[in-house]
Amino acid sequence: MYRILKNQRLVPNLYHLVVEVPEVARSAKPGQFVMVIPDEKGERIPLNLADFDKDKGTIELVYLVVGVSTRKLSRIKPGSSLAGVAGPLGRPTEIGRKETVFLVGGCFGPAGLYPIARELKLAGNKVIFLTEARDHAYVYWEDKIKAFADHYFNLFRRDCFDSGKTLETAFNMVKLKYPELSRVLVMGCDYLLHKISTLTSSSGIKIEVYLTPIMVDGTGMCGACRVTVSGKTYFACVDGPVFDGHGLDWVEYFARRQAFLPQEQLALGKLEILPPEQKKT
Amino acid sequence: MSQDRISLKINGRVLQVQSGKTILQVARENGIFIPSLCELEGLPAFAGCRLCLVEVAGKPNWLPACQVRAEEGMEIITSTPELEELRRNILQLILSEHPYFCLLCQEKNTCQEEKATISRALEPGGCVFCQKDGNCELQKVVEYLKIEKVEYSFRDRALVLWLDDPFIKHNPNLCILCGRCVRVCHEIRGEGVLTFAWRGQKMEISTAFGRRLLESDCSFCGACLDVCPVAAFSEKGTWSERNRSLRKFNYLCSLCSSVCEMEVEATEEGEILRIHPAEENRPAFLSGCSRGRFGLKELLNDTQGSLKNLAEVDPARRRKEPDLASEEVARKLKQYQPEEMAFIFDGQSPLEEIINFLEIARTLQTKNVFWFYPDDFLTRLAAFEREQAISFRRKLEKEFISRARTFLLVDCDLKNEGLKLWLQVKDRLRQSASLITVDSGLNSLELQASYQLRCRPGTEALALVLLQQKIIEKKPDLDFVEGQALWREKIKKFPLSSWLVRTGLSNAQLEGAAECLLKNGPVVVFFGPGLLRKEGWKATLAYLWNLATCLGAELFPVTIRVNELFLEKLTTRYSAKISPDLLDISSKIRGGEIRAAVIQGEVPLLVKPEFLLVLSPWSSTRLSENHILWPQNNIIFAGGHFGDVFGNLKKRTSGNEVSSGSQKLKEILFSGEVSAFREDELIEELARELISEKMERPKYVLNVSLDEEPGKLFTPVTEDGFRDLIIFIEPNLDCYAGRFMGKEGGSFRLLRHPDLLWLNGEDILRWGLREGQNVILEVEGLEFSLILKADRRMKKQTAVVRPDLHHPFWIKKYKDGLVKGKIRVLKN
Ligand SMILES: Cc1cc2nc3c(=O)[nH]c(=O)nc-3n(C[C@H](O)[C@H](O)[C@H](O)COP(=O)(O)OP(=O)(O)OC[C@H]3O[C@@H](n4cnc5c(N)ncnc54)[C@H](O)[C@@H]3O)c2cc1C
Ligand code: SF4
Ligand code: SF4
Ligand code: SF4
Ligand code: FES
Ligand code: FES
Repeated sequence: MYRILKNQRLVPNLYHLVVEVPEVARSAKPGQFVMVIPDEKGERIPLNLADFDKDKGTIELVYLVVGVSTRKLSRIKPGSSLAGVAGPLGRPTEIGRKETVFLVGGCFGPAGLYPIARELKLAGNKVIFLTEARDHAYVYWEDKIKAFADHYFNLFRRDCFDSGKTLETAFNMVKLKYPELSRVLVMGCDYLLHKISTLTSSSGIKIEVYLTPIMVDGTGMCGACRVTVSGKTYFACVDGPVFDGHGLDWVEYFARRQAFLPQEQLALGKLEILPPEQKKT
Repeated sequence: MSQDRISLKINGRVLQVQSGKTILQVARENGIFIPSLCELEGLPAFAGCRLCLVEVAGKPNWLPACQVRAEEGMEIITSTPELEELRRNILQLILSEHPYFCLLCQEKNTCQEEKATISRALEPGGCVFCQKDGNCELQKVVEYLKIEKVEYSFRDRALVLWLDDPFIKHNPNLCILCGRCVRVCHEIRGEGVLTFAWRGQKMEISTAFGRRLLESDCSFCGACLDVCPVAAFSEKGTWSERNRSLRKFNYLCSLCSSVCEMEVEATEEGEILRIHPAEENRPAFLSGCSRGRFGLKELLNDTQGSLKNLAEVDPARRRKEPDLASEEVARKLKQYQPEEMAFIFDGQSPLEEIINFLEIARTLQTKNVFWFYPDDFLTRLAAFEREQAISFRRKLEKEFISRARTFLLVDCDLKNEGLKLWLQVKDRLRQSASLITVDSGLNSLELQASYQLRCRPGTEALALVLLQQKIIEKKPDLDFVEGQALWREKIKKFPLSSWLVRTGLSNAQLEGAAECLLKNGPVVVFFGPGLLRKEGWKATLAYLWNLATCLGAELFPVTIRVNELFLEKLTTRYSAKISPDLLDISSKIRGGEIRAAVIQGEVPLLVKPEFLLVLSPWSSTRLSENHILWPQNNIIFAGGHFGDVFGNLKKRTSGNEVSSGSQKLKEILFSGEVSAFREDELIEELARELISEKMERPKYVLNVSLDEEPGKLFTPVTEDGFRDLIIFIEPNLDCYAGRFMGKEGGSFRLLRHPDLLWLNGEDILRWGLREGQNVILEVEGLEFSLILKADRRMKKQTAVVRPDLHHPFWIKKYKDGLVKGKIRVLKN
């Protein structure tokens, strides 16, 4: 069984989950993800590994509550178990040496980037870390991340209307300060991924985005997670989840991502109106 | 006084306005905008948000426009640089605890398009994820005040969301503490469930002891949803309307005599998302109840028959009445002799449909026409009127309520039995009118009454006489009506002291109530059908009449079912019979006297005749082979007139013209023959009759014979009687066309459904039972499996059931109002 040790609200709408999954904890690498099934009747959803501990046999996940499965997850009490966890899945993030890497995370992104930052730093890279959030109240794990970052800073949505600081100015600032910058990793909502890819399109710097297409099996069989990058087709679950943000066919990506929106909305409505005692897992 | 006109100046403009209004109202009526958040038309002022502060010449301080009344000669300035600065500051403080980023963010629209997860967040971190987006009052005020940045950083209050109640959820982290929900719940609806609470540093909306709504006497009226300016209170299963096409239209709710106008919102596929009150010129929170908004939604969504209708919301595509069977129907019906046919209707349809139905029966010359009506309330009342040569007023004029200073409710749970009437009474209570209840059962209004005469079951009549006795003692010269002196002599001969013991009332309670009735006139007395369903009801009613007479009070029967008052007239006009149980018809069918029946609506006819035509809103109704089902518009599509508790007619204003099975039937049976008949003219005539009928206030007392002593049957069960109960059988209105809400597995069954047994919580405890437990109720040798539900308003050793009145046993017992029973626990 996958016993839950912790399931706690970190910041509004974002939860921190710690589960015992020794098999995954043993072989996980930064940048990989797992498939989680919240309850017996639940669907499989992919979540990035936010940390893992071989010795304790635990993994950590940080998830945003958006639809049926994540809503169910948010109601499970520590002490009870998840119906299923499969992984680690996806290709681990490449860890080079002596590179300067800029990590940008929004929403669940900082959590998923945390083990990557750690690995990069330990391998001798220079790590610059930006957390993009609405305001300070939405920032989490700041100290934890700082321990593995040469330069850490926050950018708030507030800043955009207060001081005109935007992702663009932030990016330019980093480029100015670290002219050797060669890699940018972005994890978070589609908007952030797309935004950064667009505003760096002529910078010559490699943008690696952690995509979150809809996934069903997570093993390259179903084709649900198909994406097109520079004219070639990939399955995000086995070939990704990281792809070149400049080469991605964003229009297709958004369309596929939103394909089931009305059904998802209805399913969530149905879940909400279930009598409370039937919702218990 | 309030008719007086005053003259004042706002921003230099001279205005002539009616006195008695607040500055904010005056400004609004004259097109002058003053920002406000906590104020809402129809709610008492709270002056909590301070956004509406204005400058008044000669006053040292700024005044809240929502609270201060406009006065003659006032000179008001609504906007100065200082005021605007102050408002912006206030608003920024509010925003610092409300996720405001999307309010100010220029990228909101692109972000909305690209974020696949819009509007579904558990806790919105901004408008893009919020249910209220596009329809939010905070958004509007921010726009008006042109807020471009917020000086304070956002503070996450991290309060716990309320997710465990049916239908309603609450996100305290979005709450701006405007207090509207508290005011509507407490002062308008009279529920008093919501309060402000301090938790450490943090103020939030709460219930007593932080219980969930289900355990807090919440009636799930939904008013808190209607008033909340942001998405703090919201309905489960609904979402932001942005970028989605919903079908919306209004209809009249015919589930009870309040006949609220409701709006339904459905998806293209026909799933109902939301039903909420939508009356023109009336704040939403002055109508609607759990049954109409949540129960009906679940019932219709769960019942396949209606979904089909719903998918065809568009009138052009709406299902057509079947033509296939029409020839056959006409042929078959004409085969039978008039006396071999029965016509039965249930009364929940628009009056037009019922009249058409009655016309058909008349044209076919059958005398077997029945209104299936489990309450024979009005029949009993009419019989009483004939016997005593008196008449009760049916039409309820507004002034009676607006003038009254004391309301006396006798066996009448006005909140459940006449919601709109209750809301008007509640309004008077706020203006210091008093409420007195005389009730032996469960009366949800008792906690609001100044005097509660909770007598023992079945002793209402005694309580009324005792009350009158106190009145006479206090005012011996009350002698302005005919028969009064005689009546007074009679009262003296009653065994009053033993009656006092029997009722279980105290002298002090009676004294207090009598005092109140005498001092705070005019008095209006309401009684519900429960009163006439008890042993010795005639005496009780006579005593009540006499009491009202000596007080010079108005006396009204409260009808709880839609159309009741009009159907009473129609049945007389068409010589239809009222049938509370259909047993008689069933036995005639069994005996072969009746061979064909036409049923409108869903009535519990247990024996099916040779030929049966059912006009039903449920396409899933099962019938055997030679029986025919004709679909009828269901409640949300039904167009036409409905009669309400006040004796008013209401007509659906939007959408559907009348189109129904009975109209179709009329056409095919006698194409052309009855064309001279116009149901709309008849309806108007009925309405006129109801107004013009001379029904006067009681002017003389009735001479009641002494042997009519009520309450004999129900000597109280002994205090130590283990699990012995006196059970009140109450009507169950949570039902539409024969289907019960909450029986289909939705959340409504947590509130009310036909298998619940309400008990006093203390009884539950001391008898070793627990709420939610399945028990067997033994009554007169029969056993019923029921679920326990606690209600602290119940009297000890009494219980309430609201059973399915289609069950022959319950309908029989229902007429007596009370029954004795015992609880047995299931062994497993
Ligand atoms: C490799 C990968 C890693 C991810 N890591 C995280 C993470 O660490 N934290 C986090 O909060 N979210 C993460 N996501 C997104 C997360 O999987 C979805 O938010 C989740 O599946 C939503 O499920 P739901 O039932 O709650 O919502 P639904 O109502 O099912 O859908 C909500 C939205 O999520 C998307 N979605 C639905 N099902 C899936 C699916 N099976 N796979 C991907 N997207 C889906 C849909 O496009 C939809 O817009 C990741 C996605 C991928 C592909
Ligand atoms: S309640 Fe209003 S202001 Fe607040 S997030 Fe929702 S839409 Fe935006
Ligand atoms: S639903 Fe009605 S009774 Fe319940 S909390 Fe809201 S306003 Fe009060
Ligand atoms: S819940 Fe809504 S109505 Fe109630 S105080 Fe908060 S914002 Fe106002
Ligand atoms: S999830 Fe099925 S192929 Fe990737
Ligand atoms: S609207 Fe007047 S103080 Fe809130």
